Amino acid sequence: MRLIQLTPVIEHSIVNTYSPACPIAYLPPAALQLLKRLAEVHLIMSSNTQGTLPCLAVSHQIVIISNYCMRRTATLYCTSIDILDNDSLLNIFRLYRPVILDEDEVDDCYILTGGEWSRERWWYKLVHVCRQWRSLILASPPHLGLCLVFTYRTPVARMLAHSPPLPLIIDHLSQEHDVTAKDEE
Amino acid sequence: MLLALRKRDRVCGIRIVMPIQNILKLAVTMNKEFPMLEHLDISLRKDDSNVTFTLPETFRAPRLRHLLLWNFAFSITSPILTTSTGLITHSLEGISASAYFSPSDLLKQLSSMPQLETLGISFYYPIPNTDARSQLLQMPTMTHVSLPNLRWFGFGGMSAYLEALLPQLSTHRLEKLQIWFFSQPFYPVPHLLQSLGTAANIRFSSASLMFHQTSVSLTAFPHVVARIYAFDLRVSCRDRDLQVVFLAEILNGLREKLSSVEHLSLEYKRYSLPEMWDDEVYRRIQWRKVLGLFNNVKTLLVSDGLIRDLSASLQSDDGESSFGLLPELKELQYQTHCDASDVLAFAPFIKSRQDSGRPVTLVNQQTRLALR
Repeated sequence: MRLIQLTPVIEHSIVNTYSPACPIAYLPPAALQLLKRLAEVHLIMSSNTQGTLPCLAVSHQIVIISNYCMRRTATLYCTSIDILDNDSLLNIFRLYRPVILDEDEVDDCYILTGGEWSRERWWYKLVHVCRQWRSLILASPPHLGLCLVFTYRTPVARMLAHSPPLPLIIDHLSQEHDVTAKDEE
Repeated sequence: MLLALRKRDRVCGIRIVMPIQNILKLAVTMNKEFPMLEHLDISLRKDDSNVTFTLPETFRAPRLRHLLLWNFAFSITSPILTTSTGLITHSLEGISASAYFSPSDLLKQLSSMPQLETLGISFYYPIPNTDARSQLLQMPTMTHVSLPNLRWFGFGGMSAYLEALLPQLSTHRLEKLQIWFFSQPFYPVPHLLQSLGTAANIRFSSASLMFHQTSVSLTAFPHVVARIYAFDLRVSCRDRDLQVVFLAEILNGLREKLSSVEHLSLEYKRYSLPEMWDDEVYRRIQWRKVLGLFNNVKTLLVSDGLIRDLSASLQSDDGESSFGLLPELKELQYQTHCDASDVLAFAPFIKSRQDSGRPVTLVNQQTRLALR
């Protein structure tokens, strides 16, 4: 296992927990808990039940934390996420896609209707991490299965005007909520 | 929402639950082809189910995979169905009276959906079972349909309808079957029982019998830790006598499947106190019929509303315990809020089993205090 010490200048860092096999870094679960308390965790990536992260087994996690927290946890061994090439990042993003319908779901009606569609918004935060991630993600909609989700609270017009032409999901589950002009603005 | 719908070449999923007046507004925009649409789920409130609403005739979705429509008039011959041959999920729930279709019409549609994995059909308005039977007897020969990928089938309606449908359906990979019969006099359901008997992927390991205020249900699970059923049968029925009779008849036809049940739960979820039965002997007979089918049960959970019925049924008429019932039973659990006097009613059964060398432990479900 090769550990690379954190440098204080990096923008974002990636920590692969639980996995001695991963060449990037290793943190035991206890350290992860400590990190979570100290860190401003931007993203926790969990492999879904249908896939595994590269080189990792199911249930491994990747945590991306800010430079700020890295300074506070400088004894932790991490490396800059910048060492990952675009293909690797894309693969990680793809594996980060959530399961829309949990395997342990017991409500048959919920299963029938297709699960939690709001999880399709998984990539919304990622595109705000940095310009590189934004352009990388938005350049790969089919690969990442990107789509825009509209609920009754979504500012539809604004979102359509400022988003790339991605597939649309309309998820309006409020029995009482009326379709008003407000929904359209 | 209307703005999003107008981008019809980009819409891939629609899931809407809203009042009819809002759906009517949206439907106006759904009068053309949605080339990307894979999932369409529209639900009207039950209050609105008397309002006739249909999808526009010109609506098309060639890539549709999941179609779920709730509580409205949907024609089985709608062009959206005839042009969507790749459906994986097809669920029409709460079909209004004006949209009733015969088993024959349904089979015709299903014959063009070989990829179906989930099929749900439930009617909102019951047709009297006698009418349905006579109508169904006059049916012309129906198409036999094979659904090789079907894993989940749900039906709600009259037993006669299902009995007409099932012989014409081949569903070898079925894993989950959910049936809800409207209130009706008991009619035999041989085709349902046969379908269950031959469904290799439907296995029973634990089962639950629930007595509700207006229905009785049997839910069977494929293994002890399973959280979703393999078979779920609910029969609308207020009369408790009939509830047990119906269950006894159905369960009798499932004798072979039930022989693998090791954990049985008898639950009582009525809002009122149990009414007294006029004929206690008849009641015992019916209960014994039910219990006699679970000859491999090791754990039995009884909820408080059923303790008197059960304890009485476990007694033979001469006051001795009914020896042959539940021969493998090891643990009899009751709920914590049961009256002590009720629980004591099991004492003769417990003593009898202990004397015969086959002890049963009486356990409070929570505190697990043994009263052997």
